[in-house]
Amino acid sequence: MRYNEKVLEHYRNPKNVGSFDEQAENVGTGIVGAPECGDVMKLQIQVNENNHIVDARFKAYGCGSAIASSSLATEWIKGKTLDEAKQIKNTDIASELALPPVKMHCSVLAENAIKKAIEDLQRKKAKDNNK
Amino acid sequence: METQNLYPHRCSKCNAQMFSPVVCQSCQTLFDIERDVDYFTMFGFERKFDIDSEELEKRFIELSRLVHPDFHSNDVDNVMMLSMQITSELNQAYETLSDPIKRAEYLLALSGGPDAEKDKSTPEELLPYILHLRESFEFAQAQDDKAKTDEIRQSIKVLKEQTEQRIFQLARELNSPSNDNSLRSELRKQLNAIRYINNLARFVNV
Ligand SMILES: [Zn+2]
Repeated sequence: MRYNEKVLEHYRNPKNVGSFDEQAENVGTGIVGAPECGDVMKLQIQVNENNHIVDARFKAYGCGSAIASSSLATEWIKGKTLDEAKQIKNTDIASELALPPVKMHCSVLAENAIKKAIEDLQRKKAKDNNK
Repeated sequence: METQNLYPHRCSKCNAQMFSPVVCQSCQTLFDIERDVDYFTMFGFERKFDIDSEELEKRFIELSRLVHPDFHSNDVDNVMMLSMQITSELNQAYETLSDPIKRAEYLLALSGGPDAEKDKSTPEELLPYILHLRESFEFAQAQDDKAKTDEIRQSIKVLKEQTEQRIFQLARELNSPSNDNSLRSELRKQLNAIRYINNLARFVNV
């Protein structure tokens, strides 16, 4: 597939749409929104015992750019450690998808969703360790 | 409602009492208002949330007529320009004040409160609840479960009404001189909430 085709696929045929069980201890969930436009996004990560992200899912209720941003984000974080995933910047997502300035907030949403999902997972793990 | 003559100025041309700073209703002179005249003042209202919507409409129609470019077609060019400029400002002001949510949003901005870009906070647990309602609705729809979709629509309607009432209540409190930052943040939060709720309401046709 050519580069452009790959990008377009995130719009036409988004990857990793769906949900994991929120209660599972190896799942982290991040829910974020953009009040400017009312978009809501849920992004979930699933990790193995080494804290590597093995899988990711999302649901995005918003415009095409929000969906493409989360589709790309879930693809990118797979196989990464939590620390590596935290490094993903909204600007990387925006430039990969060639988002226009008015759609920048969609990529911000995806970045924040990753961070929230990681925080959620770390909170769960910390609770586990205190047991 | 006692709102007459709250703009207590006299026309600099004919000395008649004006109710709006944009035009004199006696001699039809247009005035180039400074940028800091707010929408309430434009219509001769006090700067507060509760306004008489019938009176607002009446004044809007009256002012639009007085300011209308057709009415000033024989005037010099710069008056024509001014007439078009004021007409567009009046339209924007009317659109804002006639919608209570937009009016609350506008009052918050006037009082120095944050906009949605700066403060994206929402009431605790709102976003998960919005997602839950949306997913349940999609699920029920796929199952052709009419009773369930109706029930979810009803929940959304209630949530919308409650949030609107909360916004109106907070916007009313904004008038009092004791308004503080926590009131402004709370209003911002509820105004953010209503955007998500309205999106959802549109989606389920409430
Ligand atoms: Zn006059």
